[in-house]
Order: sequence, then structure tokens, then C-alpha cells
Amino acid sequence: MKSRLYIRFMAGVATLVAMAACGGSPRLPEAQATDEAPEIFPDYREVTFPINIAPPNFQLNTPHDDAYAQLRAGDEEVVVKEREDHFEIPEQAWRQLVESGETVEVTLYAQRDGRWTRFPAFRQYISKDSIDARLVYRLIEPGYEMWHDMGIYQRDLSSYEQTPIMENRLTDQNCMNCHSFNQGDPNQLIFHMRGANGGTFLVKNGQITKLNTKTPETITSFVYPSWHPGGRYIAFSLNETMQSFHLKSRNRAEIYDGASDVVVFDTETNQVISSPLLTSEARFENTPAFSPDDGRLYFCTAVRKEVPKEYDQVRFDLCAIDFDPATGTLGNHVDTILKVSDKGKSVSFPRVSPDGRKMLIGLADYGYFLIWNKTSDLYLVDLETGALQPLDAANSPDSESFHSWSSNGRWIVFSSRREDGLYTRPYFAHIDEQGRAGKAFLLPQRDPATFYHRLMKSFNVPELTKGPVPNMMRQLAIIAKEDPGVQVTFRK
Amino acid sequence: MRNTKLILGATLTFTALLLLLNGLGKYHLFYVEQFQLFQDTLPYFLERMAYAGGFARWLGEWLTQFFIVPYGGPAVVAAFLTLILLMGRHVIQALAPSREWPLLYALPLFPLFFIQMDFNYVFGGTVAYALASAAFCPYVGLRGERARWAYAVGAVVVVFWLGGAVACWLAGVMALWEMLTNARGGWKRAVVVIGEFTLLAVMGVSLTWVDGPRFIFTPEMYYHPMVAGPPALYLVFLLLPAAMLIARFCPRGGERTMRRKALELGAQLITLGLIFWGSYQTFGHRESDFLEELDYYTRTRQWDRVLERCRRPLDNFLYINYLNLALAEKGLLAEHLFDYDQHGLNGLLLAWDKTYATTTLLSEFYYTAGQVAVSQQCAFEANIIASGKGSARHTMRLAETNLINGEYKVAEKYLDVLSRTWHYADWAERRRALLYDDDAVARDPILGPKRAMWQAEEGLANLAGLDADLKARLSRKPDDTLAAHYIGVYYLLAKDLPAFREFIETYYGTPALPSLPRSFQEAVILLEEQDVSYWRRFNLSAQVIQNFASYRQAVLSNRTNPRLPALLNQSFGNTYWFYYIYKQ
Repeated sequence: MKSRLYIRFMAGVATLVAMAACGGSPRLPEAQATDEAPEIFPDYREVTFPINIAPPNFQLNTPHDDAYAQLRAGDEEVVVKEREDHFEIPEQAWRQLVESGETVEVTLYAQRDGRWTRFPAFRQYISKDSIDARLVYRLIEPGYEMWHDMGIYQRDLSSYEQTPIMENRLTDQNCMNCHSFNQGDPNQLIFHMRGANGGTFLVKNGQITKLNTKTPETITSFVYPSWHPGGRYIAFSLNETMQSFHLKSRNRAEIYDGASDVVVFDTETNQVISSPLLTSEARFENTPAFSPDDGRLYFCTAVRKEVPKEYDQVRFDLCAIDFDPATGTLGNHVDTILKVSDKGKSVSFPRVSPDGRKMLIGLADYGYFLIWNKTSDLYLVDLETGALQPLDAANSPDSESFHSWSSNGRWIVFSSRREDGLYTRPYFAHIDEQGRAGKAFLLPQRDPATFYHRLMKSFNVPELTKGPVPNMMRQLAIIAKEDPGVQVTFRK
Repeated sequence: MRNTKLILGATLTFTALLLLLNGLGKYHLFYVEQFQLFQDTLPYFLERMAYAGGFARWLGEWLTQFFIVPYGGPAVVAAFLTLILLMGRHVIQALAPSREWPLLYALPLFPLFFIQMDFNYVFGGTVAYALASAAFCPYVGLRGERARWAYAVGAVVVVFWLGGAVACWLAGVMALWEMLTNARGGWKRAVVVIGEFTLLAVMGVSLTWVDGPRFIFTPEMYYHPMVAGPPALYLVFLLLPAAMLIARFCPRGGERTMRRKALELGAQLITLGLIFWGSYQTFGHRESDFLEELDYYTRTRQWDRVLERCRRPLDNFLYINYLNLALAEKGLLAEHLFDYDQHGLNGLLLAWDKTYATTTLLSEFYYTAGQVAVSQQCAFEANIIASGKGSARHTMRLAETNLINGEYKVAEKYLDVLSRTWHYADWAERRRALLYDDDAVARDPILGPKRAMWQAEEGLANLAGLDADLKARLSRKPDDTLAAHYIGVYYLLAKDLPAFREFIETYYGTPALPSLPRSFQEAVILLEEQDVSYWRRFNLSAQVIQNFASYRQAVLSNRTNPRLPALLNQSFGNTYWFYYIYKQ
């Protein structure tokens, strides 16, 4: 008797274990096919994902009562039942899918008025090109002058985990911004703090240095950074930033400069290197970018206008100047790489691809602070031929800006306001060998609709890093509050 | 019998506190409710729980939601203070059971009561204190050594995570208890709990569970992080230990007559009253009372109450802003402007100083004036200044302004957030009906007219001043009487008569300004005091003309009288003539 009970008990346990091991995959209902395309959020239809991305959970927005998602790739199949208004793809199952084939076919089943409908399948393409391990960004309200809680965070792209790199609750709620890594190296970081405990913080292989970057010879402290690939030099813009607000335009705000220049900072001597070619009073020089391969310094420049009156007439062209890292000297002439101001356009934030052959830029009708400008889109410049092509598959009717490359040059990440026109979200797109962009996709979240809809902050300055940024919050806070900082000097 | 006395005492205490809080602080409690945007969602809760003290903060925010309803704030605060008093009684009675010590039970309540009137204080601090008191109460009754060890060690950890810095207080009072009741055996436990808290605090700082040493070793965790906590904040932590010491070392009461007991009780109650009065003088924070009252009426659109309360000398531009908002909302701004105490342009339009009060008023001003985009900008800034999570009040304004300018997706975002609040969910659901429906917005009695004004705007705001923006709007919307009145009022308050002249000569007789309000008529007379034909051009009323004649007569008759300003104020203090000459 006892042994029979025991056997039955063990059989039951074995069944449960087997079910758990098999994932308990639900069965698909009988359904009628429809031609109607399903409306999903995020729009992960016909996108290309990196092989190492977290599962791209989504929700079905087409009205329905219940739903299933069937995902197939190669010989693998997984069926996911909708729970709490979204499909949560098990991580293990996703890994198996992406390793099984280059295409994941997704078929959605929805119940409406007691009847099941099967939508046409859509595809998700899996690229063997992996994406860098982490995405770093600042979370801040898409506001104007004031801030409260803010921080710089890193997100593990293979999961949904987000951890802070720095939060202003530790530094008297000051402002922190303009984080930048040397070629995606998480151990080499620079960013600024403004207000209380202000300074520029240079992190190199565990060593943190606080810098006071305003000198009598320069117009402001350092602003937008770009690392020289050698790691010793960092180019910065200097910006007297101002803003105005629209009474009606969807652009809401305009950010412009009263003056701007470009300099190079030597991290070994703590000196600022400058040139009259980059600090002209008659022009705005802005948004510098070192090329990762030959160390040439690209920047944007515009004829200086009276602002704010002529804010919409400030149009930047793309130029370049040589830089010799051996001597720390800038070249003696400026080359125009891309002239668009005569065509009623303006270039901003050039970012050279890791192989040095292409450049990602923002292009809009005017200005450089493009996230507020609905006309801004991403373009790719072929640095060898000068050809300019829009990233049509990645762009949207709203603003795209703050773009950067992955370390292998196959992915870009950028900020977009396409969801609601105000709250900036990070989007990724694949770039193939010919420089063609795939359709952009939104950073995956466990429950993306709820997450993004409720998040009252924007993702600002998304940057990819090759590995996790070390935890140094406490050290940064101590240095910010107690270290007077090293005063940088101007090299005459 | 004893329980009956206790229940009666607690009820009386609660009632007294409720009435006091409602009498002294109801507007303040209404006011502080807007500094948060509590969400009844799991992610919001988990976010709070990720840091030491998060639970107390979360519960404090949940309770603060109820501050917006009449008696809600006083009832919640009174309930917590009564509970804290009862728990304090439990501790004091354990030390000195021979008599009742209402004075000692109530001692910690004084700073707790008055700190509620400080808008930099977060109610989560009171919740944390109650939590720690609740953790301390069972401890004083524990007898077994093992039980006391286990409880002491566990309680400090739990209260550290749930309450935050109040765990420092808990460790301290536990240690004090041991020294007062069991010094020989208990000193080790005293050392351990203090050491345990210190270790937790150091870990918390190192691992950034807390924002810094100041926020875990002191009660500053329960105060605005950018402002130094006042003495009352620290007294909250110090007064129960002081009461414990007094109770321990006071002489034991022997047999006493009823009369003696009554005298002792009476003396304590009188002392309580005196201490309360003295505390009120020191900590009462009365300077913001009036502002908070006006703000409440403004939030609830009780414009008549604002006007009623502003019939007095006004010595603060914030008050005058509330007044002028109410006048404008009632359509009385230009007509009755000088019936009230005006002191220049700052009473109409404040200079932005990045404080919450000013930013809020600017958002209200621009909204009333129909400058929707600027109102939205100010609401956005105020939403951020209020707290790290936003402000329900300003989120409502953001929803409204985004509905007006057709940014429905963003408006929906804000409405969804408000739907997760206790008090504003219904409002959000009503506004939700307007989403993606331009016709519905146009038909809405409040949003429709504001959309029409917004559609008449163009360009960048405030490049040449508010008057330039309103004139530009007027040029595209010729029937915009609101803009016309604001422009005129703007110039009159600034005493800019040349600009006023140009304005009325351009716009009088147009659909925006078919007739002149009283204050404008009075200003016309100032423009051309001798030229009656100029007055006729603007159809000045006989009453205004007659009034000016009387005014002129009074001036001429008392030309050398040093009391002339006071005399004129009596009869003509509500005229622009008086304002122009005598008001600063």
C-alpha cells in the first residue's frame, strides 16, 4: 500500500518536473487567418536584432480579449501566452531561438468576441553581429532649466537590469551630464557635474580626477566631449548655452549658443590646447568628434548670428582639422567636409564609425541641439566619397539625435522622440557593410508598454560600452564633495 | 476602568490635536499635498523600498494623498501623534508606573506637531518615528534575556530598512532603556545595538543605500536634502529619551489623595499648555499661512474667497498675484484692479526665482492669461522642483495644456499617471474623453477658448516682453478681450502711460476693446487731464468724470496739507489716479 502511494507520488512529481522542464508551453487555439496586420508596441516587426539582445517583449495593441504569440526559428518554437497585457518571452527560449536561425517568425493569435484570429506572421532578423554589452545613458526629465533626481545609468543589453553609475542624490542633487567613453572602454569615462560640487570627472582605469575646466582664456567650462583614440586627448566644445520657448511650435524649445568654441584637452598635462581656427569670434565652432582611426578632428561650424532673434538662421557645416597627438598640436587649416548651410540645412554631432569610413550625423533645418527640432534626422556620410544618405529605415517624422556607434561599427544607438513627441527613448539600428540602416527598434524592457508609458524621464546621450562600468558611486561622491579639483591651464 | 480612561484620554487627545491642526495648519496640510505624485503601483513601491527608509517614505506619501480633502490632513496627523503619545505612555509607565505623566508622554509631540507646519519636512518622518516607537514598545516589556537579545538585534535591522535614520533613535532608546533598568546586565546589549546600527549605517553609506552620512546618523533624512534641518527636527529624536530620564529619576509617588492627584494632573496640563504656547511662538511658521490659504482657494477655484481675503493691505507680491489671478478669472481684472492693494507689475507677473511658489504662480498666471505654452513650461519646471516624482497639481496642468495644443499622446501619459492616484483619478477619466478629439477640445468651456488663444500665437515667448506677445496674439485674434485687458493692466501697473496711450489709441473700438473698463478710463484722464475732447473719444462714463472732479477738488483743497495722501486714500484709494501718484 505504502509503496503504491509512494510510486504515485513520485510519478506526480516527475510529471511536474517534466512539465517545468518543457516550459509548460501553451497550446495554440484553432484560429481563422486574417489579412489585418497586428498593431504591436514596440514595433518589432521586420527589425534586425543583435544575437545577444534581451528578449524583445511586446504587447498587442489591436483590440482583443486574449492572445498568444508563436515564435519560430529553425527547429525551435516557443508559444507565449499574453499575461498582464504583454508577451514575456522566456529568456532561455529566446536564446534558443536566436541561436537556431537567422529569422524568427512571429505569429500572433488573438481572441475577439469569442473567436480566434491568426494574424499574418512578421519577421525578426537575427544578426550574428553582437552589440556591445552595456548601454549608458542619463535619465532626466525632458525639461528646460530645473532638475531634481537624475543619474547616469548602465543597462545590460542581454537582460533588463539597470544599475546606476552615478546618481545626484549623493552629490547634493547637482546636475550631471555629457558622459563619454573612450572608444566604448568602460574604464575610461568623462562626465561633468554642474552646480554644487561641480567639475569635470575623468575616470581612467580606476583613477578619478576632478577637473576645474574654466580658464580665463576660454569662454566656458568644457561641454561636449570626444576622446582621441589614443586616450590622452579629449576634444571639448565650449558653449554659452541659452534657450527660448515657442509660443506654439511643436518644437517647444530652442537651445542655441551665444558663443561656442572647440578645444582639445591634454589629460596628462591638464592643459587646454586651442587654435584661432576653432575659436573664431565670427563663427560658432561646436560638437567636436575625433576620428577613431586617424585621429582627425571633425567639428561643426556656422556663421555667428544674433540670437535669439536669428536662432533659425544658424546653420552648421561639417569641417575637419588635423591633430598631431605626438606634439599635441592642431593643424593650420580647416577642410570643409560637408557644406549644407547653403541648402538650408544644418549638421550636428558628427560621429565617425570605428573603421573611420563613415560618419553618422544629425541633419535639420537649423541649429545643433537637434532633439528639440522635429526636422532632425540621421544621415550617413561616406568619408571617402562624400556621399550623404538618410537612414530612412531608422528615421521617423519626429526628432532623432544623440547618436553613437557600437564598437564593431555594425550598430548605432540614438535618441528619438517618435513615441509621443516629448519623452526621448533609445533606439537601435543595424548598419550593414554598405551603410544601409535596418529598421530601428526600441530598447527592450520586461513590460515595455507599462515601463515607457509610466517613465517620466528621457533617455539622454545613449552610449554603448564594451563591458560593465565599474561601481564607483561612493568614490565619485566623496571626490565631488571633498576634492577641490585640479585647475586646468591654457597652453599658450 | 483603566482601559476606559485610556480610551477616553486617547479620544480627547485625538480630538484636541485634530482641532488644533485644523485651526492652525489646515491650509498648510492642503499645500504640502501637491509636493508629490504618489502612484499606487508595484514599481513605485519597489523603487522606494530599494533604499533605507523607503517604506516609511512610501507610507507617508500614501497618507499625504488624503491631505487634500477637508480634515484629511489633520485627521491623519492627529491619529499618528495620538498613537505616538500612547506608545510614549507605554514606555514612561514602564519606568514610572506609580503615576500618570501626561507631560512626559506629550513631550516628543511638541516638535512633531510643529514640524508638520514646515513644508520642507516629509510626513514619512512621522511615519518612521511611529514605526520605531512601535518597535520599541514591545521591547520594554520583554523579560527573558534571549528574547531581548533577539528582539533588539532584529528590530534595529528591520527599522533601519523600513524607517531609515530613525533606527539610530531606536538603537539609542533601547540602549538607554538597558542602562536605566538593567545597567549591570544590559550594558552589553546597549553596546551591541549601537554598534549594530553604526555598522548598518556605514554599510548603507558605502553601498549607497542612503544618500550620505548626514541622512542616516541624523533626522535630516526626513527633511529637504538641500536645506539644513531646524532644531525641531532634532528635538523629535531627543525628547523621549529626556522624558525617560525624568521618569526614571523622579521620586516615586506614594499614596496620594484624589485632590493631590488632580492638582498634579492639572499642573502638568497647564505646563503642557504653556509649552505648547511657547513652541507655537518659536516654531509656528505663521508667515506662510496666508499664502497657503490663498493657494488652496486658487487650486479649488474659489475666486470669491480669494477676493474676500485680499480686501486688506497686501505686503507680498505673491499675495497680489493670487488676487489678480482671481480678478482675471472672474473677468474683473481691468474693472476692479485698483479696488485692491496693488504695488506694481510684480503683483501681476513675478520675476522667476526658481522657487516652487513663484513657478507655480507663473504657471497659473500664464494659463489664466491664455499663454498656454509658457504656462506649460512653468508647470513642467514646477513639477520638477516639487519633488523627484512630480506634483499632481502640475501634472494636471501639463495634461490640460497638452490637450489644448493637441499633443494627445503626451496628455494621455499624464492622464494615465493621474489615474493611478487616489484623488485625481476621476478628474483624469473625465479629461480622457477629450483625447484625440479636436472637436471635443474645442467645445470644452475651459480648454476650447484657450486653444483658440494658443492658435493665435507665434514665435518665441517673452523675447520683447509679455505685452509684445499679447499684442502679437491680439493681432491674429482681434476679439481677444482677455489679451487687451492684460496689456492695459500691464502698462497701468508699470505706470507706462506712453505705452498705454499707444495701446488704447490703437485698440479702442475694436472687437477686443469695444469699451474701456474703469481703470482704463481713469488712466485716459491722466493722459490728457485738460483735454475733455480726448476723454469723449473714449466715451468715458459720467461717473468716472464726476469722480475725477471730486478728486481734483480734494487735491486742490488740500494742496499744502501733509495728510493729503491719507485723505485721498480714504475716498480715492481705489482709483488709478491715486495709484499713479502715491503707490510704490
